Amino acid sequence: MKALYKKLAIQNLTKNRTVYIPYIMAQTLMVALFYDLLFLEGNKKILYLPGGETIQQTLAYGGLLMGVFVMIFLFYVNSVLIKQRKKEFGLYRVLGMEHRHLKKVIFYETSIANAVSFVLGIISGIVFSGLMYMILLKILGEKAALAFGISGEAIWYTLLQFGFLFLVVLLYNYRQLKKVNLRELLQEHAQGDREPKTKKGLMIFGIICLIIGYGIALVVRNIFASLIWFFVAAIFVIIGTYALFTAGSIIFLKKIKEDKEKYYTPRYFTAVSGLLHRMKRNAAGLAGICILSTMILVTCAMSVSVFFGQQHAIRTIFPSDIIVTMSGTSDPQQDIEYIKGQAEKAAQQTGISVKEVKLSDLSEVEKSMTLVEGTQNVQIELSGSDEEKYECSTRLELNTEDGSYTYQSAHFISKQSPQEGAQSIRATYGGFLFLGIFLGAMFMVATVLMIYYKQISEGYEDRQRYVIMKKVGMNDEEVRESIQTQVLLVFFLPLVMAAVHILAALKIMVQICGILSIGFGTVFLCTIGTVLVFSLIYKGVYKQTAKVYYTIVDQQ
Amino acid sequence: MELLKVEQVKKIYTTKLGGSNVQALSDITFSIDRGEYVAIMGESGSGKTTLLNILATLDQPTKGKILLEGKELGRLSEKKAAKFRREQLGFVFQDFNLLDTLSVKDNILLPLVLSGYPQNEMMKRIKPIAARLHISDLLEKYPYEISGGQKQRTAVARGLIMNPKLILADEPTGALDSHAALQLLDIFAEINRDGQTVLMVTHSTEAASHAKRVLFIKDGMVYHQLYRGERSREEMYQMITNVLTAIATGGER
Ligand SMILES: Nc1ncnc2c1ncn2[C@@H]1O[C@H](COP(=O)(O)OP(=O)(O)OP(=O)(O)O)[C@@H](O)[C@H]1O
Ligand SMILES: [Mg+2]
Repeated sequence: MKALYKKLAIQNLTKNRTVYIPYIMAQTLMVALFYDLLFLEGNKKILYLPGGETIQQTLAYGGLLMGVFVMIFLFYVNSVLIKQRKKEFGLYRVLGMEHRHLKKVIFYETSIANAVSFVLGIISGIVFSGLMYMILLKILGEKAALAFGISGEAIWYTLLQFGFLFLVVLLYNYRQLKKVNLRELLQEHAQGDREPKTKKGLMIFGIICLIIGYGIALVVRNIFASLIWFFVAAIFVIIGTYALFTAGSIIFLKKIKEDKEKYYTPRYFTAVSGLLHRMKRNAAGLAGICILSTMILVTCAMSVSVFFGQQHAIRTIFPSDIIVTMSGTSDPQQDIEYIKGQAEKAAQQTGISVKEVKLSDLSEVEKSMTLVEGTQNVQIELSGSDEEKYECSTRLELNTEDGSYTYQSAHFISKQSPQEGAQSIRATYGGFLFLGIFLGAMFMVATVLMIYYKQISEGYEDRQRYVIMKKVGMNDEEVRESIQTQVLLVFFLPLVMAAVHILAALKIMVQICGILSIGFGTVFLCTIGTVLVFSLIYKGVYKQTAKVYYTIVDQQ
Repeated sequence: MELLKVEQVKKIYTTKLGGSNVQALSDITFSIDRGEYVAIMGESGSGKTTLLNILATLDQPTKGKILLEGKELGRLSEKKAAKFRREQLGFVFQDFNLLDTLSVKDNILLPLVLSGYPQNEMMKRIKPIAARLHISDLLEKYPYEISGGQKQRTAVARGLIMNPKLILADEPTGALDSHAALQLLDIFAEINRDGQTVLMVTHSTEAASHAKRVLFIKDGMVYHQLYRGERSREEMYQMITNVLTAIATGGER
């Protein structure tokens, strides 16, 4: 008996391979990414690198974020798949299979799908870990060394995470099985989706949510509140997007339908009527694609900004070759003279010369972070190479007492040079950049999967309609045109919306990047670039999956 | 006057895998005059649907010619064939083939929309046809809200709206109860009286007895044909039954 269930489970998975293979592939990728993140986060070699601790903290934070996202996303995908198969389960029941038998089949199906993706995921995770390790070292400015990582701990935590997911998914699938109502099932097919009602209230609600979300994003001033407000704004925007897609798309399509001159043309007639009827179910998917796209855009735009802004940021934080920070000065001129003298001594020993020594104000960022009152910076400019400058800065001696630099009236809080500082900056920024790449990749996988599922489920729905229309006298070209109108509306609406979202998010992004001393120009250009590149990728994905759609519709 | 001429049509299906060939039609020859009402009968698998698909340009014959008003349809390009189907032919199928996403009215208008007719012309045409098929009150409803008979009448309306030269029907009464079937047959008789040429494939002796002529297909060939002439429907019914019995028992004609 057991063998029979197993066989049935495998048969079912193969029969539904058009949906299960992408699902297993996506889960595999997520397991691999998750494993790699954990592996890097716990890697001792990285910990002992300069700045390694900072990076690992950033990664830990990212791991948490990723864990939550992966759970929600894979759970959602599974629920969509299992709901699609309700009819199949109903058929088994009609053919005389008992509920508990079906439960066993489901158990094997879920186990096989999860086990396969877990094992494949861990294997590819181990294979890729070397690459990830190299990339991370490169970002940190270290010599890249190839090392494969098999970490029992990382495997164990990945197993915990995906084991938990497996349990949740299994229980959910059991519940769905219970919900299969045979009588309804047999009637379901005859009942088409009704034309949905216009929901003006929901639309207004959505618009209000968006306005609030955008408003927060545009109004927030305090840099440190940015992060929290970013999430609050994001939640409003997510709710608003769902509401707007659900209600707005229906209103939009109905508008076209009311315009009789437009509606009764080959281009719009079948596309609009078809879309309208399934919009109730589709809107959530579209909103999901839009939100995911926005997440990709935000993550990637910020990472790219960090990447390109790094050099500039080092220069902003360390505007000169050596910076001496001091406080409580009663006679700054005298202090500068002293520093100058010491610096010249150090420069002479190194074999270079001092170009300029001057007093400077603190930057906005520094002001907000400095606790000591009356703090001032002295900037020292040197001639020579980076190495020589660094050597000179280590030679520079300033009198200290009680652990802080003191001279006459001044307390010298710190002495820094960019060469030193760059290390810690690279660690912080590198962490962000790396995490950005990671999360971006994950969101991308999720988006592609969602687009793919939309295309195939719609393909199967539309097939019968296009068969009928061909019989009645629609030619292949017209079929393609009609499909294009439909697909264009469906797929580029989320993209446009995502672009609008990111425009609203731009200010907050600039503020967050401001903490890292990355300027508006950099963020703006990087965002535009990211949007353009993403649009191209999106178009490519759409084209590839549209091919799948055409093949399904064209099948005889 | 001759409207449709089918000359020695042969159809062989070649299955992709295995390479076994199925001969669905071996040698079909017949013609139909303008204003005729012809039924085609035959056992399951005798090639009726295949023949209809070829007449509809949905499929191409392996051999032979089909002429509509003297013009050969044989190898029209895909685009021309679609235009031809839309403008010259009207279809009625067993399972209605209505689009669930369109209202009854829009289903009927579909061929006009595909042909790019102006909107006011569409509205002008739909009124009389809907009235004739007794579906004027249903125009705003959707296919899932109406009965099988009403669906089939909607499909007939869609078939008629382009004023086609020929109506092709594949077992139009197959999914209807006897009352709805009779209603539909009355409608076919009525539109035929008004000059519409109808070609109908059917399993039902009842349905065939409404036609003016019945063609019997066996083993991919025209086996026999009956003209109704001045006979009553009951007499015609009896004659069809006799021929069918002869086919079933393998007797000579
Ligand atoms: N696409 C196809 N490929 C291969 N063989 C086919 C195909 N379509 C039909 N056939 C074969 O051609 C023969 C005639 O089929 P057809 O559908 O025309 O029969 P029919 O007279 O319409 O039968 P029914 O009364 O059951 O509808 C059958 O033997 C069938 O198996
Ligand atoms: Mg048939």
